Amino acid sequence: MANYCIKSDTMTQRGAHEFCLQNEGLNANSVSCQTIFYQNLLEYLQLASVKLLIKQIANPMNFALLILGPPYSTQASASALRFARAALNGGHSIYRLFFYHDGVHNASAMVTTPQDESSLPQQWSELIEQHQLDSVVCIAAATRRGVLNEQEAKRFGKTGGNLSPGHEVSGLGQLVDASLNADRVMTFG
Amino acid sequence: MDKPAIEKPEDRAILLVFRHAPYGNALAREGLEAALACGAMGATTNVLYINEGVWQLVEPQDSHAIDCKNQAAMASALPLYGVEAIWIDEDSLKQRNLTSTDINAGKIIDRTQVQALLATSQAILSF
Repeated sequence: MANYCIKSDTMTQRGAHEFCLQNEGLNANSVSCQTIFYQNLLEYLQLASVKLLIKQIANPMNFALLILGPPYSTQASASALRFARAALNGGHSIYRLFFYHDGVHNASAMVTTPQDESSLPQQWSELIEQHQLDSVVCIAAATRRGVLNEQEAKRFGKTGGNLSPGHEVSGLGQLVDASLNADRVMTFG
Repeated sequence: MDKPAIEKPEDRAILLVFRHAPYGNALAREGLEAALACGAMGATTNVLYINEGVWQLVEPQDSHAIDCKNQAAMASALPLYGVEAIWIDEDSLKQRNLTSTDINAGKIIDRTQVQALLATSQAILSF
């Protein structure tokens, strides 16, 4: 059995566990891999009485994702979603998702897909919920395209908001902030 | 092991790359709005016009008939927002039979300088 010590602030538990399983060539049903979470890796090493096999990400990065592509019409949003999953599973973190241009449609709760097709907005909401990601939808771009939260809908006299769970509407300042603070900004669109 | 501290935001430059024609798609307009936001927030901002993006700066252009705002006129607001570093890819102009007299702003740079700009920018937003 291999033990892994994972800094809990760089990775969610599930992402960390999947990472360990992949490293050991195990599938998700295997129980021979144990993941240990600890807030401070150095402190843990000092206290640990057992010798641990430690796997660390060589270069953990903090990514910001700028998503410009709509769901369905192009592959941009699906690629962004897969990139986000791969980054998180690989031990990286995501500073912020920023939905802009036609990308704001990914935050529409009104998107409805046939039963045998996956819904990108739903998958985004699930990923955001699962990893507690910061997701911002540009308010100007979203309002023009009919993606409004309850408050905005009321303000403009519309019948109801349609913003998917997990997102918040805010301004371009959040994109500037993400550009200044993330290690890398990835544009999808 | 703790992650190395993030570089101080003031040391970082944001590069916005404009690759699309001014009309037919809102990318040019919304990209420019993002550039203006970067400038308004005091971030060190570069903009690069490349490929079809060079059409955004062509003067004169009149978008009145398609009920769109004039993209070249909007771009002329960049310096007012503190965005002075406006770069244009020389090859993209040549490929479209455009010269420096056809565009209303920016400095024309060659492929090597474009590569250096891309290589040294810490954050790149592509529109």
